[in-house]
Amino acid sequence: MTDFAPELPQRTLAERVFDSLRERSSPGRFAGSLVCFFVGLVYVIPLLWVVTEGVKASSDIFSTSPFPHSFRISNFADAWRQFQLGTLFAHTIVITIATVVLSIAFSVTAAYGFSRYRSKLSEGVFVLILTGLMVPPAAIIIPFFLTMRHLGLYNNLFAVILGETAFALPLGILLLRGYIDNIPTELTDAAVVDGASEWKAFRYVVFPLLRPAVATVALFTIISTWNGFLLPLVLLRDTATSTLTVGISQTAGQVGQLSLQFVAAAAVMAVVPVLVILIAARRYYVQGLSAGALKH
Amino acid sequence: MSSSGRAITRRAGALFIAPAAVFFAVFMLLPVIAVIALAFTEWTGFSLGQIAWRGVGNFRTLASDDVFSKALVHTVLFVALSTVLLNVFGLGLALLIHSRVRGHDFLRIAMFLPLAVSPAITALIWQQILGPYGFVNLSLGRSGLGVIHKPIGFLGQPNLAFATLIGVAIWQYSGYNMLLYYAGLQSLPAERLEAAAIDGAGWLNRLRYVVVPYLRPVIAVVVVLNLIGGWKVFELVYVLTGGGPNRSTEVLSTYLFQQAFEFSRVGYASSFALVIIALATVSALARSRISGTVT
Repeated sequence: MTDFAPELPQRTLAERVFDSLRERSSPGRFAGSLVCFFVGLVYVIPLLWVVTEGVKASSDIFSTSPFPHSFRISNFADAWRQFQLGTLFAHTIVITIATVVLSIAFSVTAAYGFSRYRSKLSEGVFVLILTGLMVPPAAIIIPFFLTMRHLGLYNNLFAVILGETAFALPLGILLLRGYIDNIPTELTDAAVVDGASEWKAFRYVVFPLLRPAVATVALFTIISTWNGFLLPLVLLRDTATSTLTVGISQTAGQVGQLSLQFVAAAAVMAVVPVLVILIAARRYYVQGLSAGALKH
Repeated sequence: MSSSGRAITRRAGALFIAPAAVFFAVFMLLPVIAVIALAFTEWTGFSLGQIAWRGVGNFRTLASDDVFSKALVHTVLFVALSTVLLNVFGLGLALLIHSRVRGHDFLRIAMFLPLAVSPAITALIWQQILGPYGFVNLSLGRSGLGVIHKPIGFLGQPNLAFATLIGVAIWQYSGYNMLLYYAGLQSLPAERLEAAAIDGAGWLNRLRYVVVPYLRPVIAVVVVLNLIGGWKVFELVYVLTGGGPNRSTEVLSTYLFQQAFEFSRVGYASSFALVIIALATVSALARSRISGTVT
């Protein structure tokens, strides 16, 4: 096509290909590729290491070969028993699901209220709740523990659920309110004029539109709750009643170096569910990160 | 946008907000108030009748507590160093990925993966890798270099252990910063960089006069997020080193945990919580300073 306009000072295809090749192979870009590769390895090697370590025979655990000489998938079954992973998984799953449900129920309604009803008081409450984002769990763990023991909830999963929900609320409200602010009020106006209550207008008109934002909040809550540590460490008494993160790290401290392959296998099993969820939902994660940071 | 439309009634607004507000008040606000009050008492945490008012006594004690001052210095150093390094690496690697050199996708995915890993598991994995008979020391020993006769005490030598802790924190969290900066770079007009390049600006000048000024609001937010996140450090230290060796990695949260739940000094440990809350509040207020705007 460019043959028909030879007089234009346009670069030919050949010239452009040559330029882009030179660009690709320029020393700067080659160095950049090397950095990508080696820095990337630093991030990936620990995760690959834990997988290969998890399938090694105990005679092989001090070998540094990237390819294990032995391949024992039975390590995973042994680790499952040794670390009581059935119990730990059950507790972690219950805590995570309950926290997600509870924190979304609280934060989606509050976010709607903050978005649609504005007064000095409601704005003040909103800002107050946002300050919860910066409270380190360790700072309030003492009164939290004392209260839960007083209520008879010590060593009860419900105590962890209440705590994780309190820490998940501020981010949920922040993200959901930002999302609801962009939904035109005319949608609910029509429903209310037609005789729907405010609750029904919210439940059947607004809530279904919030699905992407709810998915984002659920993702963040799943990651932080599944990976939570201090609350279960303090609020649950021992490994038999604990969660994956606490149970595995405590047991790992007791079994010692010779059972390294079981520690590794248990760690792999604890990480895989969240890793799969995060990779599958990475779009929501990145959206939520930027939305949360920009609105902050 | 919504303020131009019809607002819901005061009663409906209150009903929508109340459940979350009450929950937040009971499980976040009250504990904060309680821990501030407890900081002025002496108590083992068992019988309510044994609470004794100590006034500022706890703060006098911690002023002369060597372990507390170590933990305070380590915490501030951890927050400062991790924030600086996370931003240098996060922005630098985001720029590299943004330049779309070959391999940029590999780096982006690799940095993303640790975000799914619990800090407790991260600490556990690195503890095994960096131990005296861990992957790194065994590899160095077998590399045939012959210079290393003794395993390196990444976690066993006091000065090295703190550097290792910072390194592990960078591994865990740099993906956040990369993602945020990468998202910020998407909207940077390519013409600006090209114009600067045509004017003869080297990459350092392009970074200094084009990229950083453009990203200034993003940098302000990311720095504050890192500061806030930094004060929350607990399990990374607790599992990786337990605060050792010889308290060289002790931070306020791990010392608080020890005092409160191992030594039953609830009042004294609460005074650390007050210090942590004060530090976190000050750094959150720093945002308007960095971005140059009052929000």
